Amino acid sequence: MTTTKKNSPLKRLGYLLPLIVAIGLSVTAYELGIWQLHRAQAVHNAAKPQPEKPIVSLASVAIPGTDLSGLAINHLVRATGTYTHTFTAPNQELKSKKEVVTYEVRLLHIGATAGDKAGDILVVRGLAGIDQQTLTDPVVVTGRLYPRQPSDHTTGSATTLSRLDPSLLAGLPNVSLYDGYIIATDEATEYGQSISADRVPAPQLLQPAAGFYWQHISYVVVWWLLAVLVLFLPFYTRIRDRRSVTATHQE
Amino acid sequence: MSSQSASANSQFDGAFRRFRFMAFWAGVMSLLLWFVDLPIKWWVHNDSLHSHLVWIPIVHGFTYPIYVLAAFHYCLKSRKSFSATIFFLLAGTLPIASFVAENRAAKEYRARHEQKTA
Repeated sequence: MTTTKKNSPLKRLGYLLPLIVAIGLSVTAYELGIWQLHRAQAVHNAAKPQPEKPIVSLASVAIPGTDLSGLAINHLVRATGTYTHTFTAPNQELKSKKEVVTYEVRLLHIGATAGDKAGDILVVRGLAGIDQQTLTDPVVVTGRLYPRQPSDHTTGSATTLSRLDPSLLAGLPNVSLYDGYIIATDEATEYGQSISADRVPAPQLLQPAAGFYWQHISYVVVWWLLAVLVLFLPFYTRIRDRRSVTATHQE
Repeated sequence: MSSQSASANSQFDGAFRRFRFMAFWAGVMSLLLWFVDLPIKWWVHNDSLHSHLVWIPIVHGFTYPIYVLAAFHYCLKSRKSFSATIFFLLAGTLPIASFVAENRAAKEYRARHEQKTA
């Protein structure tokens, strides 16, 4: 009678079900570990400078009135237009020199060209000087594209930008703003004559990855540890049950 | 009481104490992660403020395996079922689940001691 009970399908299912559940959970935990490992690798790669890509036109990587895509950030871009407004952006940190400076920022209006809409983008020309150059003719700006700054660096006013964020200029009439801003590395007239300015460095934007990398690695350890323990569990409980049955028989 | 059973009881007490401490620790770290680090990261968008909180997910991540091992050891010693063990292992991932698990373990521990003294 005991033998019949031992081999009954229900009894077998009682042993198989935890094993199936454990395999399912273990595979899930393993895959979550793989996912965290990929994230750690992505964070690690984002912290390394990428090879420079060729300079492209601003309109080919960004559209006015839409959020800047992750792929557009850090691109070296070129745009031709006329400066319409001048601002200063104080308390900007020069990471390479570890000092705080004031930027001269201008709004560049880019006229509509074949296939591309007209738009306006903030351009950091360089360090703000005592005398501001009068630039009324069209200018060809080359520089690196950055995402808008999320937090204020100072109190804003009509001529002072609290942060480098085009949304602060949304109230200006007849503007169609690009997201983000350019730090100019070169400016020239439309005839190719270079325009001098006290330029600021335009390094690639790198993620502060060190901490986050180790965070993801720690989660890899956790998920894979869970995968091993969960897989071991049904076998352990079966061994334990057998031992207790043997002990009962011996008593 | 035989020396074997005394040793088993002492091992169970040790596993319970380690689990209890790690359950509190994992619970507090989960609360910090879910209600301080993540909201500031995704809603406040303040990089300088968030840079001060980078330690939270790292400490949580590196101490969670210790919680998992402590919970697993406690479950083995208290002869928990398969599903109860899974619950105890995963309890550290949610903010208050590890407190619930600790409360359940403490009740079981008290009941076991009362049974022994009776």
